[in-house]
Amino acid sequence: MLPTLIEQNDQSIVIPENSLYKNYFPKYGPVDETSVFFTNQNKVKQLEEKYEFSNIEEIRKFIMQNGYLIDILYEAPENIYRVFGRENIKLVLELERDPEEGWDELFIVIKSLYNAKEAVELERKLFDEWFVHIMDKVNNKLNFTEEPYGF
Amino acid sequence: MGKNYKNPPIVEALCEFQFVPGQPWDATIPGMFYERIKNKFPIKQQQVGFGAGIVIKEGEAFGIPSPRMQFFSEDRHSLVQSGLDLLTINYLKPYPTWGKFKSLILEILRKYKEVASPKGFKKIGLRYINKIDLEQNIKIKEYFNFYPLTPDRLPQAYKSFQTVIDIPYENERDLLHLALMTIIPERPDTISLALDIYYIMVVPEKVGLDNELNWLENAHTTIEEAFEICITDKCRSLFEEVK
Repeated sequence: MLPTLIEQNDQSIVIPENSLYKNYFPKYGPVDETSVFFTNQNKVKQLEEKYEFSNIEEIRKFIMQNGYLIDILYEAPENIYRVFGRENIKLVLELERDPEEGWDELFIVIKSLYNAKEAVELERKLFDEWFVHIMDKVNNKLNFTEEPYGF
Repeated sequence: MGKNYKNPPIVEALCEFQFVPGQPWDATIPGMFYERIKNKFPIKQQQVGFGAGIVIKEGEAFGIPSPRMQFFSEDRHSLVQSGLDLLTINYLKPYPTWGKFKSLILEILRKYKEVASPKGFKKIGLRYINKIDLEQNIKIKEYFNFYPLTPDRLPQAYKSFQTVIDIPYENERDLLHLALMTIIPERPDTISLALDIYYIMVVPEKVGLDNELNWLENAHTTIEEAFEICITDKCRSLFEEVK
């Protein structure tokens, strides 16, 4: 099969039959991605399915600036669900900043229907079973908190 | 010989080999391979999350588990990835030189061949990913000779885009895969573009198991030329050429 010739203004583009294009996911590179750079871009996009972002552009940039958070954020929901369960849980990412102090930190806000006492106990359990093991990796740029879910 | 830049835009260079197996996959291969490379790549981890294996079948995408081990250097600027009949050598920013990268590729490939005894190359890919940060509201054609064209009667502005072409080389044995796309920026008030230049042998076993060096040199030259052709002098000036 001969290649297809597509003319676009002053450029001609030849698309061969076995073009990689058909195996190319929009924006995210070829399938079976072996690039670390594009894998990280993909993961940041995938985080949008795992969390609600309070300010998507700002938080995406913050995560890209602090690339070591990507895998931690990617794996965090499973750790949270293991402790809090999956029912009636919403995970929100919120960026807290104090420009005067030069301080910024991303918060995973776990919105749940638990009463205050249960929520504090689960928060403590999550800290002991997960967060304490990653604290040295987050460089004070990531924390978590629990809030009542307002239906 | 390509141009040298003070601030080259390369964020990642990688070389990927997929093999035609010479024997059934042996579960002891990853361990033996790690023993041979652990001096340079001591930090090992299993690749986290998706991207490990996605198969396109009749137009649909299925995520399938395809475990891949990653072996990082101490400084985490380079890594080796190994999976089922797969070997990848990646250099992250800062990219050293082609000479150093090539030496590493050949050394790691030789060690892989020693333990896995593959029959041939199913695919070889050499890929350079460039990240270019630009101010918002620029005219893209002032920076690139390869860009999306929109008809005159449509607004000449885009929030995001992806332009991809595959150009056949060597009687369609190889492909030059060129992509320019918007990516997630790191800095406020900027747009970030990735210029992804990927030269691939797509016809299995058309390069002999001992002929990778010639293929690599040719692939690198093609990528270097493509990069220079794709950018304008205005874009080039961002990288500060060293003469």
